[in-house]
Amino acid sequence: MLQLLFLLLLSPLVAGGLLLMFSGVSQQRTARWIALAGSLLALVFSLEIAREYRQLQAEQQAAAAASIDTVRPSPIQPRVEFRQPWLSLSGSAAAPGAATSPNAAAATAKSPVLEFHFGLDGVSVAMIVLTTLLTVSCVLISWESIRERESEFYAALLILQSGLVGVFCSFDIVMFYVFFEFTLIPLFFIIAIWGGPQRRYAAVKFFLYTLAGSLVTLIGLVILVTQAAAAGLASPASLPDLAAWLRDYPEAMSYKLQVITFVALSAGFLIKVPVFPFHTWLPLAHVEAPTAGSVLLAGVLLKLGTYGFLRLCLPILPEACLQVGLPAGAILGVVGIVWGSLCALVQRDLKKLVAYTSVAHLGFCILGLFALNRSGITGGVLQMINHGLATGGLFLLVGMVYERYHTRMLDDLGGLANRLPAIAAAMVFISMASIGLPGLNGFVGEMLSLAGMFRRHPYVGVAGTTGIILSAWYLLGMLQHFFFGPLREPAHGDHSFGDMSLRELAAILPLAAACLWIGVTPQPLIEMIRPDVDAVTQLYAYREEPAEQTPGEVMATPLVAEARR
Amino acid sequence: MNVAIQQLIHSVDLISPELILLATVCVMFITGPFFVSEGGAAPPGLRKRWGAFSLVALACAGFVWFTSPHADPVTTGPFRVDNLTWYVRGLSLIIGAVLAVLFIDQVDDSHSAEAQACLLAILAGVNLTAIANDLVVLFLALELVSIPTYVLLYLPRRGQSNQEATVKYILLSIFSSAVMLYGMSLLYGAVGTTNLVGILEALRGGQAAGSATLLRMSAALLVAGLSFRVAAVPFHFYAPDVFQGVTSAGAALLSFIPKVVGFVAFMRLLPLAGGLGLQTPAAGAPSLRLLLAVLSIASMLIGNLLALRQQNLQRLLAYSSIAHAGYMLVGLAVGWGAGTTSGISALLFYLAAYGLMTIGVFALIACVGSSGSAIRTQSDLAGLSRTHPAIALGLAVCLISLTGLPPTGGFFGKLNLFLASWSDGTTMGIVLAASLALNAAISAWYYMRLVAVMYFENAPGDAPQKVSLAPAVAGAACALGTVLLFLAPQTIWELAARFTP
Repeated sequence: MLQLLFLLLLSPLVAGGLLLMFSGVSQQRTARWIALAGSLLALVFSLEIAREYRQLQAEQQAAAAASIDTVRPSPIQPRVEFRQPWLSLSGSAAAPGAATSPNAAAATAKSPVLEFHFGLDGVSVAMIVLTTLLTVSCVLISWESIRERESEFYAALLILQSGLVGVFCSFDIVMFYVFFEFTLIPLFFIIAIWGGPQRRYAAVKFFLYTLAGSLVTLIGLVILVTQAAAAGLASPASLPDLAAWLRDYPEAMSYKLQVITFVALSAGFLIKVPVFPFHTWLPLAHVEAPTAGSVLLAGVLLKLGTYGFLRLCLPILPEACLQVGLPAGAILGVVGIVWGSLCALVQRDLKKLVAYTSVAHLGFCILGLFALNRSGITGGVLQMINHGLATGGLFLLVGMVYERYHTRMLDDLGGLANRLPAIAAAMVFISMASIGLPGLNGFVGEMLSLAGMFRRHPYVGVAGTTGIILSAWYLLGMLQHFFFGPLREPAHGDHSFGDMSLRELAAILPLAAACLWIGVTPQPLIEMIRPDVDAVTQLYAYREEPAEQTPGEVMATPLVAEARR
Repeated sequence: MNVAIQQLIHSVDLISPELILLATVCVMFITGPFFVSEGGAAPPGLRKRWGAFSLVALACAGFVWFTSPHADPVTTGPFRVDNLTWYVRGLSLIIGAVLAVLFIDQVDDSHSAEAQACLLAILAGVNLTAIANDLVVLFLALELVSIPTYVLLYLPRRGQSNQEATVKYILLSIFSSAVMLYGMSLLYGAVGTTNLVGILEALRGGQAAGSATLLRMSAALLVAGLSFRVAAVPFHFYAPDVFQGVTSAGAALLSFIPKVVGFVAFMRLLPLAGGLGLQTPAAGAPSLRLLLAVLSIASMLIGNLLALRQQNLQRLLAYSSIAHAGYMLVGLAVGWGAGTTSGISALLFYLAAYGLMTIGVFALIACVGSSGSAIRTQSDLAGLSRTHPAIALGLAVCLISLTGLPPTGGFFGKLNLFLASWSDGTTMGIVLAASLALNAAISAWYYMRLVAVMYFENAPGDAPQKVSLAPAVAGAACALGTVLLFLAPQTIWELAARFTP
């Protein structure tokens, strides 16, 4: 499975490198086909990884049930891993300072060791499949709309995909950061070269805003690594080792330092998600980015923030998450939901509207993650995947409309269901998934997230539910205005285009199918991420207030009960 | 008599790579003029031959260096060989080879022998700085770096601004040498010997207890003199004007060589002022650590903020080199602390990464601009990704490395400094780490703007310029080295970490 993972990391890079090398000489048609082949290959690899992972998981669970394990597993437990030393920052052995130091702790102090540490657990497998799926759609949707410097565009797209997959399979804190930062560079180029009229401003704002945040994250990471190294942890940059160490020796870091670390780490993630006061870069970047850029930005890049919380903050710093993260996450999540929804309500630009729905929907994700219990975190992870599918789909559809009319303004367009019935139908379907209609994927994630938060703070949970109502309001309003009612088209321009083409159908159909599949049978997905979520929630199990079994419809949903079990 | 001869033979043995370089310098200076007619006409292609000749000399010196012992017991002789010497020699020879390649196309045929000879003399000076075990030798080595630099900067003679810049550099450099010499003489006055080991023993033995003020003054003067070399604020004023005036190759040299020399001299001299709170903050006395930290933060902030406003590319890179001096001073400030990651090692690692990336930038700029229309302002870079995609890519890699982003060696350079300053554990270390992060964010603005100009703006339209080969090779080597340093940093780190002050 590891070989497959390396192939998955390398194949887009190779395809991208080919494209760059022949950028001057190749025909545009070849560039698109190479990109499509590369992304399809990556999709096949990732699906095979997912299949093998399920098998492995079943085997390991059977084995674990048979044996009585005395060692508590780390809160972060990759099922397969690959470790190779990268940079060991050891000083010379005969350092005079260490020998004469009166401090006994300094004698055991180790130097930081960084590793190439690739691994896979349930959450990362799910996110990798989401990434490769969306990349194929991105290539398909850019087929006609990218008309200049094509080979460079597809190269950037594929390199971005490699970077994203890298984030999801890194289990070394520095490697995680390296990939996390690296994804900025290709997306910066994608927005700034192939974007809308204000693309350069948008790209620079996006780049600097997120870079500033992630540098603060780097400080948090440095605190963690140096503390662990000073306390004598042999591999202070490995995430599983770090989490296990801080769980077993919580006194190694003072509570104050843990909170500082938590805040520093969160800074970059909060901006990336983005959570309410830090979201101002997002609408601009989305509006200016080309369709493929928007899809990957909304679908996967924003998830790097929530994934960072799940991977770094929740398992490693439980005390700080409980004391600071829970209230802050609850408040910021609710404010983000309401604020994002209200902003979406008043937008006249379709793409901007969808961008603000991201702010709102990721509010649910934050609520779920910081509920710090099983249903909440499960819901948060599901919400990450659902939002990637639904919002990715919405951006794809907006891109299709824009390609036809060269406008996205609500004032210019209306009643398009008569002209473009297939696009309208797809839009209704994906919007329903996004709203959270039962039977589609959004429902499962939002319900579990809210249920988790409800157990922590009932009022916050209730406040969060307003988001579902608001999202129904703005999305249905948009649909009604845009697709139904009298036909309204821009007066000028050529209107002799057809409905959704086969290529566009191929881009949107897998996403819609995945929405339906997760909505109807979420169980396989939940089972895949369950052990990892459980490992994290065990940290909070004894800290949880005695749960008052609130009877009511939330409990009655068999799905919720199942997830809570 | 016998003892003296033996000592001499031993010394010759110790400095053999430098002797090879200096012998080549003599050969080049003496035979060089014979190939040039009185009118200044030279056979075409002469510069390539001299370039090859100096590369051969560098290779010979490199072989001797590579087989030399990593460390010898330190005696009271004029030279010492320890891990720092080995590391700095390797660094200067390897980067020196890149510079020699870069200089091939940057001077005309008639002056090529002198230019390459000056470069070799400078490299010998760098090596001697690292090997010096005596204040006098150290000073001579520093001058061996400075004086050929004046000649090298003056050789191209490209108009008024070049002359003005060179004269400015000469005057200020001599002034800083004088300041340092004064500091050294005060040190000698306090302890009565010029040998570095002797000074350390005298200080440990408490012989200088009565002259604490003298020591403090000498430390301040030494720091001031060396800060000029590394271009740290407030001794940075010459840098932008000089960088703007000289050729790209000259600026590449100035951005790197004086920094190596300065920081190596810092590492040799600062332990001598150990009583001034280098290890631990001294009670009631001004702490050298604090002084270095203040210099560092000022250099970072002022360098980066002023770089934001520059339109001229060379001035921008000059301010960026000031900011990088600030980053490296972080390593120096926490270098004698109790952190798990040594600041000195982080600084030495950063020097290697910085040498690759800054010389890469200057070399790639030099290879596009011919002498007639050199790249001077940011807008000259416009559309480079269309006209010269490979050069644009290499330049982007070097700029990303200067920003400190993965996947480049600059990332590890900054990360190591971060780890070192944070693991120091003091408030000062935390403040330094925070200002490093802040400044990395500020610097991203202007580096990324350059990348943006290359990739997002259209070329002005005239025919693409010819690329000169030698700087392109040098630049490509630097860009590749930068990426390699990210993928496999362990070797360099181990070499850097062997030296413990």
